[in-house]
Amino acid sequence: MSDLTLYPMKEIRIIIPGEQLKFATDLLDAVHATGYTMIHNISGKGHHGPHTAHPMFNEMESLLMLITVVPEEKVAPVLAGLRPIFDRYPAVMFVSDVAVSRREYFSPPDGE
Amino acid sequence: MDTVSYSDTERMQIRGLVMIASEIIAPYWPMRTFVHHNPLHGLEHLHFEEAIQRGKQFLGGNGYPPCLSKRSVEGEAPLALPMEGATQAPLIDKINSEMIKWCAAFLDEGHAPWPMPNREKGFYGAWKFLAGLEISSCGISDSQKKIARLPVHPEDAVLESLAILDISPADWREYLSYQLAALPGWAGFIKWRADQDDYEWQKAYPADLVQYLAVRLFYVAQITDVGADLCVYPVTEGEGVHTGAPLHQEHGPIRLKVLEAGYQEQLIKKIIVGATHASPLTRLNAQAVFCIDIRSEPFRRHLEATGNYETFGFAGFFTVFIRYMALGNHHTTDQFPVIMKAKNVVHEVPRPDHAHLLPKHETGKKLLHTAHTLLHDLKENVITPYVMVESLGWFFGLSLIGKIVFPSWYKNAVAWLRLKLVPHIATTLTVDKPEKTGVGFTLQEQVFALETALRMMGMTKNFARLILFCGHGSTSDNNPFESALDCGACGGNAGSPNARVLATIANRPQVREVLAKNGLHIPEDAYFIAGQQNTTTDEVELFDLSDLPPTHQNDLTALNRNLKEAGEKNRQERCARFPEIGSTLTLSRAERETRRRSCDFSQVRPEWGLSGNAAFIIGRGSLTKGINLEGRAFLHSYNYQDDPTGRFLEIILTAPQVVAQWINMEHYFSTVDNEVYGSGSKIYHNVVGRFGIMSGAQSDLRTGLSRQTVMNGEVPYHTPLRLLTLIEAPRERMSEIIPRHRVLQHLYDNEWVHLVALDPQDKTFYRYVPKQGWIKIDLQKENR
Repeated sequence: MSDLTLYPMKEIRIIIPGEQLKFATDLLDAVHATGYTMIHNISGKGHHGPHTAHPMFNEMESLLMLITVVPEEKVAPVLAGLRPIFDRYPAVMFVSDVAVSRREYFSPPDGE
Repeated sequence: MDTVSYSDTERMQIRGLVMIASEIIAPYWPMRTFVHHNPLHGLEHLHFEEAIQRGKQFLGGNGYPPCLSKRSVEGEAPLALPMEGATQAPLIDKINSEMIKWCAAFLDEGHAPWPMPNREKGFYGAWKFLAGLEISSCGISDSQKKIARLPVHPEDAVLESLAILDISPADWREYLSYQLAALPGWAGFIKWRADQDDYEWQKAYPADLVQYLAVRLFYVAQITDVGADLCVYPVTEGEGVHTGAPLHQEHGPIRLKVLEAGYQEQLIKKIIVGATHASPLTRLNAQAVFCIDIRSEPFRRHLEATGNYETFGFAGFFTVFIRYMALGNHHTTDQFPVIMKAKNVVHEVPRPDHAHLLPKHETGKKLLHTAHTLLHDLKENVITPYVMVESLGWFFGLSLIGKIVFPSWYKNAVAWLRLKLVPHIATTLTVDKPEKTGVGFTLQEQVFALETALRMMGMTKNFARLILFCGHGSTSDNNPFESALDCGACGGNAGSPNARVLATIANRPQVREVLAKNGLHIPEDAYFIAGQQNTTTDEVELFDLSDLPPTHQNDLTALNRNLKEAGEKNRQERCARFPEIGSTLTLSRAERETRRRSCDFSQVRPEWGLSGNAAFIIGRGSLTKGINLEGRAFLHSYNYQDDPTGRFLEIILTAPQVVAQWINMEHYFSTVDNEVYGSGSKIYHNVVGRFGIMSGAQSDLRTGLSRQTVMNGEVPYHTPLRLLTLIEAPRERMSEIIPRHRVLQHLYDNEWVHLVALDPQDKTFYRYVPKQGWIKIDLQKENR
């Protein structure tokens, strides 16, 4: 029977305007996040009011969500990099506890 | 100094700071797809006047129009002044010179005969490797050792230099902005490149602003003498790149508002008169859809005057976001506004009945390519130019005489020769998407593209038998700015591929079937064709005519005749605006003049392009039909009655209007301070790296429009005004849309764009007052 051990990790959800996507993914690459999921063109309501997601012709303005799972020590660097963005743009970041069964999928080799 | 190890958190903090610090510089697209942009785009979250102050503080640029009289006001200083009395100037020059040297070498895209080695290490890595081998050309002692000791991570190098320079962390962001603003062109190109996921040069040789600053701050820290209080930046007040504001800048905001009020009043009055025009009752001879580009307006006016025509304005990418591969090309072009991403790939392929000509066509192309490469290599080689001058100099001499003395004849001769070598092949585009291929459109995508386009421009009934989708392009010689004259909505490319794709889609019976189910009925006898207006010569080329049914030949003949007539009239109108002409030419002289300009390699102004732009009008064609808007208005067709939810208006405001605003601001700033925000005189331009231009042998990358594009001698040809967006729609609809979009709040509330509504409910104009709402425009009162 396969190993059913679960390992604690942090899930980070980042909602940002499309214009900042490349910056955010570069940041995740720089902290050696092993991967991320993108959900384009999301809608909702926040501090900047409602945001609709019907097809638009301006991807810089559309909101998207990045989801990544990283070891706890990566949370602070991600937050440090994104903090100036939060001050300027309609962007938010959520961090929550998750558990994964294949730790090596989300935790880069030592030294990175 | 010992190397300090920094944490990931500190490194990422620097990345975030650099990102925000770079707001002061605008991204710069390569020249081959010139993109008009607002040089202060990153500051649009600020009020227009505050952004101008920041531009002055960091970039040294003046932000308001000078006096627009024919002569300069006595005692008024010229727009651009050299730095005088700024004690740090030689040091800044020294640092800039080093940065230009390394940027030009690293960012080169095949122009340099000897490319910089080790570029795959990235900008910082490649510089560290190579600069670590050279004896410092700017007098840094032990530079090799110092560079060798620099940390591996560029973020660490930035942090280390900030520590050496003793800049307080609270000042880092401002300080980094000053450093980036010292060479906004080069930094702007790196900013653009770093944002591109699929740009081949960036993938092969990565560069970003953190790396750029790591290198720059090394020079700043070393050249300004460690430990001394001397610090290159920030400059103190009144000691910017330019000396204090010229007199005309003090009253700049008032002068600007006066200019804008004059134009707006005149335009609104014209619209009132135009709104009384009625829609045609009989079936139209033809309908034609042109790009929203300001150059379409006079052409549309002249075409409508030739007969029973209806014209529309729509962004020239025609709702198809295609990555296009022309026949025989090895690279694609992105045929859509730069605020979007590619959705479909389209290839140009030979038509089946011309496939037999393909081998000869390809052989001819290869031969020309080989000859071109050979000549280039011989010219760039260290030894061969000495021999070439003797042996092949006469050949270039002949070419030179042809280009100078007989430009039109020379162009025709070269075209004839080329046709002999590379026979013309009739082509078609891969519009349908066969299964399991990444090329073309699915039926659903085709329906979406066509339905969105037709509904958005209000073309939902009264279809003519012949409907033209007309893109635009330009022709000029020896002009690095050529793509600035092409279609901005097509990413700085000519728009014919987009027009061909949409026309092909619109003729598909399966597409029309679905559209009919959606309530949009296109009559069976309505046929769509594609064309492209050459904005330099006003000739219109039509495409894919071999598909035209014989039943529509007469319609086509009539349309062709009237397009020709409209072109003649438009040429005549445009020629009168060239300063060296200034009067109305005969039709034949106007034709010769525009043709000559399109092929004269010494011509610095093949056409006026988008200069003069001032308004963006969204509404039905009847608002402006027959009215001379002097080629100054972007016209987007829109019928509020076909858009009850406001969805299409929302798209127009957040996309085509944004592109128009970029164009408007590019022209505005290039006019008010051509040296800082523009690119100076074309006479001194040199192409660098195949992606940009410098003035002279070494300068910042020149990013804006040339002096010849916006100025008529010493007087602006382009009147610098903020865009006036005028919308025919219920104002409540705009009030609902604006709060949903940050970009619109910035544009209207921060006064980068003026907004006026023509409310059809009471046929009254209303002005949008930032953060307050609408006030009725009383034209009588404004007259007083």
